Amino acid sequence: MGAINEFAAVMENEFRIISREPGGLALLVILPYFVAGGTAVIASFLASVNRYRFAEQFIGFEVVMLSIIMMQTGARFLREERNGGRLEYLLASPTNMFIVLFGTSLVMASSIVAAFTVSLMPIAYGVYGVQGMMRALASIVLLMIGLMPLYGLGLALSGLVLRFRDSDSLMGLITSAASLLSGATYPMQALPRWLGFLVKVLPMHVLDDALYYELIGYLNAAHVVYLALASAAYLSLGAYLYGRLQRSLLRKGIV
Amino acid sequence: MSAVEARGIKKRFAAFERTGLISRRRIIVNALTGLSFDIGWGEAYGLLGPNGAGKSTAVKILSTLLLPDEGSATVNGFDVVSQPREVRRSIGLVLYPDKGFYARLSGRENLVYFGRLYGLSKSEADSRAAELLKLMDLSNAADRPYEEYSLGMRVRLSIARALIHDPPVIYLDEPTIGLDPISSKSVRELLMELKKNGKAILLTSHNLWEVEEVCDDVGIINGGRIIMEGEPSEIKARLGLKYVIEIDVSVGSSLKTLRVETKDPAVELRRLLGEVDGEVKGIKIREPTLEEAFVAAVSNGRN
Repeated sequence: MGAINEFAAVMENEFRIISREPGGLALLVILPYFVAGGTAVIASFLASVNRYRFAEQFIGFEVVMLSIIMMQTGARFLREERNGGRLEYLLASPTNMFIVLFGTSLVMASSIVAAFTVSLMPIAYGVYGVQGMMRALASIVLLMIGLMPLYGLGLALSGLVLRFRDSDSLMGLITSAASLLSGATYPMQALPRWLGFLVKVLPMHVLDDALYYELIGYLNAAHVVYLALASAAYLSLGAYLYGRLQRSLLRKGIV
Repeated sequence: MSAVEARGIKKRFAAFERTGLISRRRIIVNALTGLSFDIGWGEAYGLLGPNGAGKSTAVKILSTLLLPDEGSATVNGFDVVSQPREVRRSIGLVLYPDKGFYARLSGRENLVYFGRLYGLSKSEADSRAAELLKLMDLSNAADRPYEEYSLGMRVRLSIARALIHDPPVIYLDEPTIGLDPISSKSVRELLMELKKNGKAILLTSHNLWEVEEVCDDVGIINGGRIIMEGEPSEIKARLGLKYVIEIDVSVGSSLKTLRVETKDPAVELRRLLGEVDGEVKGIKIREPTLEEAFVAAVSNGRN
């Protein structure tokens, strides 16, 4: 019960903070349309546009955006807490930092999943009709599972931000590299074999594939299994690395 | 069992010193070199020391924010290394009195949030926050955003946060910094009250008269270890600091003041009163202050 109460407190607090940011609430409301409009324009530039290709590209760009947000959310939170002098109070509270990080990230994940779904549904309807729209709605579950491996990577990144003070450039580099290696916005066949392997190991490409196949009604069980396994693997790896880096911070001290 | 026990704590930090445009040299800073002290229940312990003496490092180790390299420490009977969660539940912390809250949330919302992180249910946190806001004279500003709080209000809210889960041990690092005299006095009164209720308090402050007023024991830390410890009066006596006796004597139509410095004011006063030739108009005895004791102890340490 204690952990649930703490988790609820963290989520409630995060929602409250977002709602008090100047324009934060408005941004949350218009975010879906902003995302939909922005990515649609980008997709139409980069793809030879027929409606099926457009929908595929749209999902690809969404996956890249969501991946970046999901990987950075924990790290950004910790950086803000440190700058605001709150990090030590959080670390000195009995609440496990994983609960704090997961609670804040889940708020962000919920917002972006909602934004993704709202922006995808009109496109799904336009391209695949009512059935497509219903499948787009069902893809929420898939997306939540698919974001977990990215959250795992985000945990590792959070550990780096916690441990090293000047980690902004590192955070930028890692997220840029990850989005380039998403395999979601370009044909995989264009890549050398070794790079293709790396892309397949990262979760973005499979998430993109899974969402697209779900939209067209051909979701393969292998996609779901892969995402579930990737969730377990990346979350374990992220939690392990974060734990090591937090321990290292406790040895070194917060600067 | 003491509330807080520190035994031979050592802590070293690696730092880098620039030796050129790119080159740098690794240096080791010995922040604590064998720190030991105890705080009993219902006692306030003042940790005094010059800047960089190791006070903050000590507080951070005792709050589980840093791991010691050597030595051990227990808080409320729990080991700071192997039982950090229990230690965290046992302490209330004021590290940076003027920050550490969410700027756009109100004082009440901030307190309730931190209360829930300490395991209070929402309703418990709500009622405890209301109680503390009243105690800290912040009820009228409870629902205003923290960013609109004055420095004094921020400090009081920080102390309220440290008490939100009613911990048995409280650490306060410069809690009255920036407070006006009336607010400072109310904080000191609160600390005395907490002591009476059996809480253990670790206090660091540059207001040494404040430490003298609140603390039962004082440890003077320098170079990462306690160089002198005891009750403020004991420390002053041990350092051989002198009392100043001033006697105003009326001789004929003129008023003279006799001024004598002594380690034993009672004997010296008796002697002077026996020798005075005239009418004694007034006697003043000024005790040495803790500030003088601190300066003497740290200077001796440096020499």
